[in-house]
Amino acid sequence: MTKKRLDPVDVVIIGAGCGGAAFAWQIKRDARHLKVLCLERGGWPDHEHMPANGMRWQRAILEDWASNPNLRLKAGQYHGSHDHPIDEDNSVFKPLMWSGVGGSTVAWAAHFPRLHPSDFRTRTLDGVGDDWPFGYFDLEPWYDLNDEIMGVAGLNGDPAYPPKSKRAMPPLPFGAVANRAARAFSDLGWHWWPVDAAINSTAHDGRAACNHCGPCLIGCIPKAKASVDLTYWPKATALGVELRTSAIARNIEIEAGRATGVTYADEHGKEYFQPAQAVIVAGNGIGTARLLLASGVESPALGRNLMFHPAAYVRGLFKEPLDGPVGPVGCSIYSHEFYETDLSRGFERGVHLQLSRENALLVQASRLSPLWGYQPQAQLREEFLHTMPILVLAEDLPEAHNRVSLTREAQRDGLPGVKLDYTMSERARKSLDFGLARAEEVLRAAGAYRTIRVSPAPLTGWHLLGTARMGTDPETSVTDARGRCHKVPNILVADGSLFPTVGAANPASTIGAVALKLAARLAEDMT
Amino acid sequence: MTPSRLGLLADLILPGDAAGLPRGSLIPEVMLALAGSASPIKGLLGERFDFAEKDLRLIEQSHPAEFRELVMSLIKPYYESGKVLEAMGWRSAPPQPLGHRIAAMDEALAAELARIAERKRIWR
Ligand SMILES: Cc1cc2nc3c(=O)[nH]c(=O)nc-3n(C[C@H](O)[C@H](O)[C@H](O)COP(=O)(O)OP(=O)(O)OC[C@H]3O[C@@H](n4cnc5c(N)ncnc54)[C@H](O)[C@@H]3O)c2cc1C
Ligand code: SF4
Repeated sequence: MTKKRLDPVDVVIIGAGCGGAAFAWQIKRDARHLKVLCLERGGWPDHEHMPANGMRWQRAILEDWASNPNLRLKAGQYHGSHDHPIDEDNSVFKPLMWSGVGGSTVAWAAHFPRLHPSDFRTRTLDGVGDDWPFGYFDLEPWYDLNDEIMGVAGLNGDPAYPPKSKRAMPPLPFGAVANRAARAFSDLGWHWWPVDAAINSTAHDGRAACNHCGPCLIGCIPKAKASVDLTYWPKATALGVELRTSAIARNIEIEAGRATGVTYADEHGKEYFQPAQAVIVAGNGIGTARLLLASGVESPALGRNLMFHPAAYVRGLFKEPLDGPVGPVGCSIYSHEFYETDLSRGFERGVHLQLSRENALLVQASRLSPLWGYQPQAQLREEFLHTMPILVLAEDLPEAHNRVSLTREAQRDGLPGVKLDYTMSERARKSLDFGLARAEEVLRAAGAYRTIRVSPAPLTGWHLLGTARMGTDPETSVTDARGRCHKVPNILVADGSLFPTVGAANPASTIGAVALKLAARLAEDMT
Repeated sequence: MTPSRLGLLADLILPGDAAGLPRGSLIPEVMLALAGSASPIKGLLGERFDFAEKDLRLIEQSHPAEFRELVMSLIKPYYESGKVLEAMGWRSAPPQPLGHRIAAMDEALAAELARIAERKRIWR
């Protein structure tokens, strides 16, 4: 197929998600003279037509707005996420993501914690994993800037972190579950704190306040939930960044150890060659590895060390009515009482405990076993509006056998198919069990008459990290501290793939901060 | 299958309860989904004069995937129905544009937060 050669740009970014958006804004802000273009495989999300204002909203969670791309493809409808199938059979956790402008932040829960300083130094402090090539305090100004652009509701003064910049909005309201859980954590003498949420608790930055509707993962119609299509992209395009949608990067062209540009296809499959001085890949832990592998970038670590954050839940059942599926699903209170290493627990590193909220009725009904007859309906009667779930996230450590690789099958998007292999380590299992036991203690202290473990919870592959990790040794890392591929230094990675280790807390705040930091450095280099 | 046997099937799958949760056959969207379904399970049942829960269990064992698919296709319209949502103590209106009211943080917890904030740092 002949492809049209386009006018060159200085910087081409692949992926308009969390990392790509922050990178685009920052580099253009610092170096206005640069021509910056972003290629995104999907389209813009249509906030007016998201499912939460129709009667099919619960079904959307299971079908066309499911968080897992394979489920969306099975539902057979294209609603903004331009998906490709992923072979996930050999992975305990199933990948969750969104492919369109905004990336996975369109579908995320917007819980916005930072990593702890210790998360950047696990090798030095605990003899496991690897140290990052920079530390928390190097990243701190970029965390602050990312918080400012995303808009964070929260409360300063949390002793689980070094002091943070002033939170832009007060914390989100608690609801019955968080009030009860907070009291229980306190009764046990354990740390808890309102989460940092990238959700407006008051009107902010031209977006409305959250009205606590509940199903954040099927998109936020009032635009209260920050997603980068709403935060970074309008600012980046106003500065002059060009964003081309329905543009699937198929290959990064490399000659004599330098990238010359990107071959991409439009929605009709027509190919273009986009020459560029620097190519930035921000396709998430799966998309980035897939494209770099397909483009022949060589690195023994590429695609390896996939980390998710092993996740499990305990659901507590209460006699008294609770408030059910209302309020932002992932944003109420959390505890880092057990986040830092204590070797007497029998494992290194720690766990993050987070109060979650009840699932929609249909989602609960669809997960019962048996699925039909008197028993499941009686169980729903007992459980609905009477449960409180606590999520346990454990720290994953890099293991080369956990990986993203290419299959021999070519996919309809013109790229090779992609496969995940992931098993949970014994250490991760121990951490989860420890966290689940603590969650059970909290739930009992809160008055639960019964608790139910869901462990591991397969549909929790929200965090796709580590597959193009930063480091100093080209044998064990894909990029250097500035995100430049060791073998092809004008290809940079700027997303969650870069993480050498992942802590036990959600990653998006760190992904954005790292992307800002790397963009500022590249702007300096190109000026 | 005759309408009465489709109704029987819907009621065996979604029997409802004495506290007001309606039987499957009382939800028009469930019956529409069942009538329009091309599930092979309907074919298997159509050959019988009568059937009960134990017959469905046997078919479920011999055709698990097809049976599950049929059940899911009924569960979805059932739990989406306003009548069912209300019978379960929920509201029938979707999450937007109304949103939900949600309790603020209990005032007593402010003192707890102040106490936690005074703890020595728990980060390394
Ligand atoms: C349901 C859900 C809930 C979550 N909740 C939270 C949370 O509460 N807190 C938190 O911190 N994190 C959460 N996450 C995770 C968070 O959203 C991701 O970690 C983050 O968005 C990843 O950023 P990224 O830049 O690596 O990738 P993404 O944001 O996923 O962006 C990647 C983009 O690249 C595009 N792309 C990929 N390949 C190509 C190609 N070849 N050509 C063109 N474009 C391409 C994709 O279409 C996509 O838009 C959640 C995720 C999901 C799915
Ligand atoms: S709960 Fe709030 S943040 Fe979540 S979707 Fe509803 S309005 Fe948006």
